[in-house]
Amino acid sequence: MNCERVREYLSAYYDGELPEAIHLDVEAHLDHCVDCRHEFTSLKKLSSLFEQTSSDLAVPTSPSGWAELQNKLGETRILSDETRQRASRRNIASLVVLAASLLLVVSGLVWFTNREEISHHASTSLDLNQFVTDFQSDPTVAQARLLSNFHGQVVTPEEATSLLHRRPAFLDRVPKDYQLVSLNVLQMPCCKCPQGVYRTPSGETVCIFEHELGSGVLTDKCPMIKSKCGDRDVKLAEVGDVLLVNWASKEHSFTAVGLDKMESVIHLVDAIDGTSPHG
Amino acid sequence: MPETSNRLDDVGIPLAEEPVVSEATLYGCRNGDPADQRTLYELVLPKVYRLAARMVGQQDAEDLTQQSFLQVFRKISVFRGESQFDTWLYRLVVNECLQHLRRRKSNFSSLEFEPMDHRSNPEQGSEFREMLDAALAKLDPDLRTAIVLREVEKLPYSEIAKVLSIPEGTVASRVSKARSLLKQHLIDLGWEP
Ligand SMILES: [Zn+2]
Ligand SMILES: [Zn+2]
Repeated sequence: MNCERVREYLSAYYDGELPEAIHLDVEAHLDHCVDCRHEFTSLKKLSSLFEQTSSDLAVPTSPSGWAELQNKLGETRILSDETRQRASRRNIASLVVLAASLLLVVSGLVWFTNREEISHHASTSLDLNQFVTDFQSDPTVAQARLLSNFHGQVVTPEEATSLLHRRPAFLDRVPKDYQLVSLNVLQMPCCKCPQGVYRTPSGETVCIFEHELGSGVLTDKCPMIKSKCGDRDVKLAEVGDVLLVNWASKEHSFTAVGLDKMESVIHLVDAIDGTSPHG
Repeated sequence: MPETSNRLDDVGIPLAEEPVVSEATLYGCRNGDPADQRTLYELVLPKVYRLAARMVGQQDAEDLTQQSFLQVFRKISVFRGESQFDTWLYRLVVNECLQHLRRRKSNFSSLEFEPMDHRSNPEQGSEFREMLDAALAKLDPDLRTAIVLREVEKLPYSEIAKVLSIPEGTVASRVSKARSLLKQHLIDLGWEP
C-alpha cells in the first residue's frame, strides 16, 4: 500500500473501523513509513485535545434548569390544547356537514394518543414516523435523507411526467395558494411515487406523496384512525405536532404530511379530489 | 452506584459511560408523568449538554439543551422503540443543533479567536477549549456532527450511521475529512500537532 492509500484509510484505521485485511496492510505500512506514522500520531493528539477539554463540558450547575423546563413544557401543553380546540371550533363553524365526524376524529386522536394503541407491521423499509419527526424539526434535512434513501431525483414537472409516464395529479390540484418548494420522484417501497413539497400560506411545510392505486400502503407502520372527510374515507394519524393523512381518489392514493390543523387537511383533500364542501 | 464490573466490553472502542433509561421511565414519559420526565432529564442531561456544547459552542449550549429536552418530551410519544432510545435522542439533539447552526449561519463564522501566541495564558485548559470550539465552528455542520459523535461521544461508525441515517462509508469519509480540516484550522490557530 502506498502513502496516498494509507492516508485515505488512516482515520478509519485509527478508529478501529477497517476490515481486518486492510487494517493489517495499513499497520504494515506504518511500521516502515515515518511520514504516515507522524500523521497517525497527529490523530492521537487531536483526540487528546478533545479529551483534555472535556472537563469543560460538565453541565453548569443550574438548579433552575428543570423548573424552567417544566414551565416551558406547561406552556406548550396549553398551547397545543388551544390550537386543537381552535381548529375543531372552526371546523364546526364552517363545515357543518363534517362536524360530527370531525369531533370523532379529534377526540379519537386524543384517545388514541392516551391509550397508546400501537400496531406494528414491519412491511415497508421507510420509517415514516421517523421521517415525520425529522420533517417537523427540519424539513430540509428530512427531505435530503428521504431522497438519498430512496434514489430520489429532484425534477421539474416535465421531467416527472416523462419519468412516470404521467403528470403527477397533485401538481394541478393542490390549493391555489400552495407554493411548490420542490418536486421529487422517489423509488419507494410502495411504488415509484412523485412527491411534492409545498409551503402553505400559513407557513406550514407539507409534503404530498402520490401512489399507484393498489400499491403497498406507505402508512402501514403508523397507527391510523379511520375517518371521513365529507363522504370520503381518510385515515389520520397525529405524529408529534402534525397530522398524517392518507386517502384514495379514483386514480391514485395520497399521503400528506405536515399540516397541523384539521381544516387544512380538509382543504387539501377537497382540492386534490376536486370537490368543494361549499360548492 | 457505578456499574463497571460486569459489563462485557468486547468492542475495541472505549464507550462513554452510558446511563441506562429504563422502559418504565420511557413509558411514564410518554404519558407525561413529571416524575419520570425528571428521572430521564437527570439521567441524560450530561450527555445532551456535552453534545450540544460541542455542536454549537458553549455559549449556546444551555439554551440548546433546554430546547432539546422540550422536543424530547413533546416527541417521546412518537418514539416507539423501533430504534434504540440513545439513537433517537442523539438524532433529536443533533437536529436541534443543526437547525440552530443554520439559523445563525451568517454570524457564527465571525466568532473571534486570536492565534495563541497573542494570548496571555496559553497553557490554561479553557484556552484549548476555546481554540477547539473555534476550529470546530469552522467546519461544515455535517462534518462537525460526524467528528463530535466520534470524538466526544465515542460512537462506533455503525451507530453514527444510524443517528444520521447515512451509510457507514459516508461516516468514515466525513470523520476523516473533518479530522484533516480540523487539524488545519487548529494549526492556523497556533496548535502544534
Ligand atoms: Zn506512508
Ligand atoms: Zn408510493
